[in-house]
Amino acid sequence: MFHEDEPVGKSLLSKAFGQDETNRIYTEKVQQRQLFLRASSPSPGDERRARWRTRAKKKDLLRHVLKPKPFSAAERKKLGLYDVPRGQRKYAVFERLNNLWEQYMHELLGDEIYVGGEAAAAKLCGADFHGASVEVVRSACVSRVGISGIVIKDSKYAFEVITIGNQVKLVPKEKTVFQFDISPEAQPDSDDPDKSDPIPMIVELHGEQFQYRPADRATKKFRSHLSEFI
Amino acid sequence: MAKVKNGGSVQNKAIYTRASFLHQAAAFLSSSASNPDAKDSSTTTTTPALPGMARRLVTDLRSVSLKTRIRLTPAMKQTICKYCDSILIEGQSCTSTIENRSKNGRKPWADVLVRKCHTCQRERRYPVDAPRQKRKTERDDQSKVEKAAQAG
Repeated sequence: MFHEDEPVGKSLLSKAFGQDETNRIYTEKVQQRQLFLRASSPSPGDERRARWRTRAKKKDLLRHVLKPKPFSAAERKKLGLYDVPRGQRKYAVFERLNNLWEQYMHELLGDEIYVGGEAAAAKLCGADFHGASVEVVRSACVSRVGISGIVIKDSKYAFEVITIGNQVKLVPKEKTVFQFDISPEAQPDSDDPDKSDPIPMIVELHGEQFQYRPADRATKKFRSHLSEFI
Repeated sequence: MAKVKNGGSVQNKAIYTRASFLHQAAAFLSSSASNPDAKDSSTTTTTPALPGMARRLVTDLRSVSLKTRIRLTPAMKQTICKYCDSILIEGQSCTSTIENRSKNGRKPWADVLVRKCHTCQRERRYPVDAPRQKRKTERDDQSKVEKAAQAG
């Protein structure tokens, strides 16, 4: 019945259709039929790559354990690395930090402490204010005026100060003017009474224009602006 | 040439002063040394150590040096924990041990100083006797010279 050389499908089709129709259907539906491969079956190459990837991941993990990275900011916060316990916030301790800060100012400003001016202002803008003894002299928020103390934290938008009464206050820089004075080094040797008790240099700091992180200020060039709120 | 060098040092003086102040202040805040000012009053004879505040200053110091591209002196750098920015004081906030991983300690030049921070329990290792490798820029200069010598 079946020819040896004729495919089974074709002979079956020829029973139902004519010659032309059989040929057409056979070529279109059988010979040129698309075979879809299963998407879930991975090729050997993919498997090898996956093995390699897991091995690399493991190696990376091991390297991380052997050579740890510095803590990220989030980890630092979580661990409480910067926390100062309430009981240890003592003004007396920070008074000594303030002494160190004054020494730093003397070293930084040198003779400009007597004259002030642009150069001194530029130096002060790039200085560090941790340990400075500041007072709020003007502020859009009236109740903030008069707060005075030593800066214990200098963040982008606020100073945290500790007052004489061991209170920690967060003073936003926005629309606030701070004042601090740097007295020149006392010279006990000189007989001149004016020199032994010299006039301090009084600096006003416009917080509005000082809203930068302390490290960013080191390279920043400040320009003179008019404060709008004053 | 000399002019440029002089100008550079004057320009950076403020930053160096800031760095040294920050380090000094951090060292002061993290130490619990006796306070000479408060000797009269019976309430406080020692300054309480404030490692949190000191860490804040050290983080500031590090970011300043990164921002201004100024190298901290190796001595200063080695008193700071790389991982948590604590000030390392021997016996108080860190412990140092000498380790020699060579077979039976046969190689004296394999001594390594291991400093462990008590805050984050992480270690830094410093080779003791091994000669220090030159800076990369210097190495590159040297290799250039050698290459030129070979070519010429």
